[in-house]
Amino acid sequence: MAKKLKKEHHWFALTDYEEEEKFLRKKHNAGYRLVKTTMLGTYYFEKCRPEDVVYKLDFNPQKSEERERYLKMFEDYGWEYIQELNEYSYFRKPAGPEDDDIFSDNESRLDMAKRIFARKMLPILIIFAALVIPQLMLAAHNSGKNMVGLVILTMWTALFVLYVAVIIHCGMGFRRLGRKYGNKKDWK
Amino acid sequence: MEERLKRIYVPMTETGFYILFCLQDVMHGYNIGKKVKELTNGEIEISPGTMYGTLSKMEKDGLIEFVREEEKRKLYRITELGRQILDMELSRIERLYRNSRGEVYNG
Repeated sequence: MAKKLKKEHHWFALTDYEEEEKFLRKKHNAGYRLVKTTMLGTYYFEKCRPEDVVYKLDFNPQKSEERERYLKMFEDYGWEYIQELNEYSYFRKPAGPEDDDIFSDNESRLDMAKRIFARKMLPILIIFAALVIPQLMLAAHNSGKNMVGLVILTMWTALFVLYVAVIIHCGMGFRRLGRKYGNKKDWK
Repeated sequence: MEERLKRIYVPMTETGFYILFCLQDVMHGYNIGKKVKELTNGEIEISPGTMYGTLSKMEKDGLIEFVREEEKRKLYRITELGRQILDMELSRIERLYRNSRGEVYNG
């Protein structure tokens, strides 16, 4: 790769994919085309002709043999597949008068949020309840003994704070998506 | 028929209805989308994420079945169970239509 890539950092949570889509579209409009994005929110862009290109993220993990058929469907509809990250699939397509979304009804938009909740959010909650909280309590109990105990306590406290922040942020995100697309009763 | 499926699929979303309706013939997702656009004068569009998700769900629930694959495109067809659900939905629509015209619906 001879071209120099522009690197940017942004953090989008599990529930912030619509913000991420808008961000990528804005970049393309400004003449920066997404080349790839990696874990921890690093985005690589290359300079391009400014153009209104719609970016969309889908979350629909499949087994590998099904994956090709899944991508074929999007290709048939004119969506260019860019990459997969954390099981989200990234697509783009030049903006047109119609067909600017990968979903055409709110039920399927809500289904996507539910898939993210079941596959990504639930494990976070389980790890928090079954590992982070007990380990923090254990560390608090042992911290008075020596310096190492204090370091371990600090570590688990930091992790605890991080988990709480993520859980609150995503919890609000799921609530927002649920209100936007769904039946309120399903989300209470 | 399972009560659960009835609850999920009747009344049907427009997406669900048109997909099931089209699959009385063997078709793949993109073709269904094109046909629905033609049938409805472009009023109903089914985007790929919605199409893929609905087909997967209907296959899992046994309303449609996978027939064969052509160049990575999955072809489906309605099943007996799907047929029953489609018939229920069709009579519901028939009733709505007749009632909206001021007629009494006798089944």
